[in-house]
Amino acid sequence: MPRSKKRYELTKCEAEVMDVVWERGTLTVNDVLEAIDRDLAYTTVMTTLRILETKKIVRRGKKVGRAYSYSARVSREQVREGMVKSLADQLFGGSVRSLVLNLLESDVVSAEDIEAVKKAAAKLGDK
Amino acid sequence: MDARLAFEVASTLCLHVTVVIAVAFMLQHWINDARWGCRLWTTCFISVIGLVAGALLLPHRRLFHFPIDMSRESLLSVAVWQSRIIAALAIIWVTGVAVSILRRCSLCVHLLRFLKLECYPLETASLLSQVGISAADYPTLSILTSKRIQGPFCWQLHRPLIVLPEFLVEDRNNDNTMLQHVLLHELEHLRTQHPIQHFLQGICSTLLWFHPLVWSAARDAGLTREYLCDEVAAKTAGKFGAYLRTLADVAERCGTVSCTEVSKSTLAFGNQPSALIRRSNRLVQLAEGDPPASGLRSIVAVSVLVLCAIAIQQVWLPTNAMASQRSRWSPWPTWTANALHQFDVNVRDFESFEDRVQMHELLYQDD
Repeated sequence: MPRSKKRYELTKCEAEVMDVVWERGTLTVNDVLEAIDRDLAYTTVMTTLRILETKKIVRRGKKVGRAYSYSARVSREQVREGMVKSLADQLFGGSVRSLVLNLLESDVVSAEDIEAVKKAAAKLGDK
Repeated sequence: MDARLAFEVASTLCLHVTVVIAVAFMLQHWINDARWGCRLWTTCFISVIGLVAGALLLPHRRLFHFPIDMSRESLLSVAVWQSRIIAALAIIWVTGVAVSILRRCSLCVHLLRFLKLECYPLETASLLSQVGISAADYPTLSILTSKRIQGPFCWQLHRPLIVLPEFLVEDRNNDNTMLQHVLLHELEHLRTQHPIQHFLQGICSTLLWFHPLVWSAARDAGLTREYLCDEVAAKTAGKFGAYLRTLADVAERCGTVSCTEVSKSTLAFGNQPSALIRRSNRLVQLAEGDPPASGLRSIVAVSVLVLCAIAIQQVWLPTNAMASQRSRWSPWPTWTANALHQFDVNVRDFESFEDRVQMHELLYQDD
């Protein structure tokens, strides 16, 4: 199987958070909340940073007080390159989503939605 | 098919499709059952394809005649404008269909390349037995895995296959719950022939690419398919809460979209809860024991949709100012008539002759 170069892609919300991470270096969820000039829930930013960690775009560092610190693992240029390639894929037939039956209809689900589903799961417990 | 018959067919077909899909929406809300909802959408897509085929290949009823008595000049100008409008619309429609077909072909090639180059097969029987599913029920199934995807999917051309993201198989830590949920969900898609429904939906979306209700129907049918597979997977696995956690975990892997808040008080487009939230709410309802709809109601709904499609097919807009006042039927479309003539079946297809005579009379009327 041919090895493909890792491609980083960000959604609008992730890009907004990453802008702050690249600007400040190392920060916590509260730092992101202060830097972004609009009302965002703490859990939304926390989930977004956790997703970025899963995508290997940020790394989780030591605890600062009760919160973890985060820093960038990849540069702005690496992400930009990946997103340009993704856009080209979308425009020239790269997304086969409409041909197959996916577990999730979209690659992009908001952090609030994920939180809401987790709350529903917690509410159901062992049901 | 001359320009005025084409105009009649195009305008009326839009009405037929709108009515059938609108009725399907209403019936689907009325039955409130995922399995029958899927069947209802399949019936709807087959009805739409049937309506299109009937309109293009068969003669149709003309219960109403052109409503306005016009002067010779007005009649001529209506005929000319109808010809121009239908010619422009035909070019736009054919372009749209061609683009849609090309795009689908290109995606199909892309998908086949992805399956060949970016996926590798897993031992299907062993994987199914690890999560407590009998492999004997799925003798032709292939399960593949890939690093390049975050969300699982299934597909069927000649053989059914499921593609899993690598993390689902590799990062299990002796806990098969997530993998079991995903496989149960995808297997239900294949077991209930959802790829065929998806294909029918694709035909409708390609032929009627310009119709907003067709897009809505495709979205709703997709959501109903997911409702059914969620329900079956959660009930089979036995725990709705655990299944919801799987959904959230897979969604988390798939990433997030803009977190821009839309004011909840507005009725803006996109202010509806997302598909994931709707699926989650429905699973919570099921877990809390909402009674399912009765089977009889579902059968009635499908029957009503079929009858509605048949009934609406009888109603054609009287847009053709030069249609014969003596007949309650339109002539046969030329291509069907020509085909039937090959078998010595004589059918009425003299509209082209009438057309020439009528136009001649309009243009060169003796004073």
